Amino acid sequence: MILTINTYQREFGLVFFRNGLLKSFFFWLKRLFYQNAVDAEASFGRMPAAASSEKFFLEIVERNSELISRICRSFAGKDSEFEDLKQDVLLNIWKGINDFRHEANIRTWIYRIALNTCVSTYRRQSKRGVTVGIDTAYSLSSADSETWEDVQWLAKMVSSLSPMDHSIIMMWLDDLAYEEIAEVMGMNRNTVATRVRRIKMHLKHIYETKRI
Amino acid sequence: MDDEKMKEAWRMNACRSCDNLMKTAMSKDIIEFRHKTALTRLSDRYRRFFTVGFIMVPASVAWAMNPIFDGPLRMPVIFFLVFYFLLCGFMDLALYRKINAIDVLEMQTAEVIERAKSCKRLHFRFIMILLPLAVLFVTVLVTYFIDDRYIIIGICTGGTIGLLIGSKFLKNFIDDYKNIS
Repeated sequence: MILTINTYQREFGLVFFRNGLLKSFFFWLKRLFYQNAVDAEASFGRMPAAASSEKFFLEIVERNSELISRICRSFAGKDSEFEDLKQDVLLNIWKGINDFRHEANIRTWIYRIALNTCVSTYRRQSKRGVTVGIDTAYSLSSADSETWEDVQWLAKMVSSLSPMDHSIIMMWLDDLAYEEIAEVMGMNRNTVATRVRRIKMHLKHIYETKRI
Repeated sequence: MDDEKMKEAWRMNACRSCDNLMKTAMSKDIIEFRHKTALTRLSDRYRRFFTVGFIMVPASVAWAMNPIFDGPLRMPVIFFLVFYFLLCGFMDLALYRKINAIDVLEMQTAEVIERAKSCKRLHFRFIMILLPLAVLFVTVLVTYFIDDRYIIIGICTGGTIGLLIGSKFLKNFIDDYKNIS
């Protein structure tokens, strides 16, 4: 029988034989408390070193600034939340910039990072307001009131959906294909299609009820 | 509202004033990793909580050595407090590990949503276990010290302040739990 020892067990053994019982106890404690933090820090430690990474990051942000802002604004209830979400999303994109170079589609990659950042922090849904961009509000101020109402209503309804439905319908409204949505969400294509159909029916039903 | 109208309304909602996104992206907070995301802040909070929880174990034993607990009450108080703070510490440690296991860079969105929901649910369930235990402890203390006016005044004052501060959090907690469920 071959006895296999993993890295942690080898390290523990070395600490025990070199430094004794007390230090090996602290080593075990540290591993118990900080194991995931160590793993997390290791993953966060993907610090892009080269200036070209920074330039690439800024290019990505510039090209996708509207997309990032739209996703953050949809999940944020207030301006202060929008600012926080924006910073969190940008930081996560910067952290993952080295890994991105292997990704095929930048748009789905941005969607995945931005949505993961937005959904991973809970925001009380009842306090979410209508999320309409300032420029949109200004440009629509002279448009007919029905159009303005529809835009406001849709933004409010999408924001009030569960995080899963919110993410899926947002990508559908942005004209992403079902395959791309499935890739971002980690779901089956048919599941995505079914969910989109169900969400649309729900939104249309509420819209028709509102008109009556 | 048909599909095209919905998409048109969505497109019209696009945020056009995105200049400060570039400014934010170029800031030192982002480039030098000074900014902490909400997830990191939550993880740090749980780390503080479990550290305090474990520190309170010996501290509560020292507190229970107070002469007012002379008699049959001392040992049950010590056992209860050690059990309670160990429970708090391990619960927060479990939540800390669960939060740190969420990798927004690698995981897919459905998985992140499920993990975040499970963390929040667990957090609320832990509160539902710890809160009644705390109330039970205070009730036992009140019953035991019913004849001592000053201790009762102290317990009631502390309890009232705690209730006033905690009632707002309790209401938010109940609302949040309904949303999560």
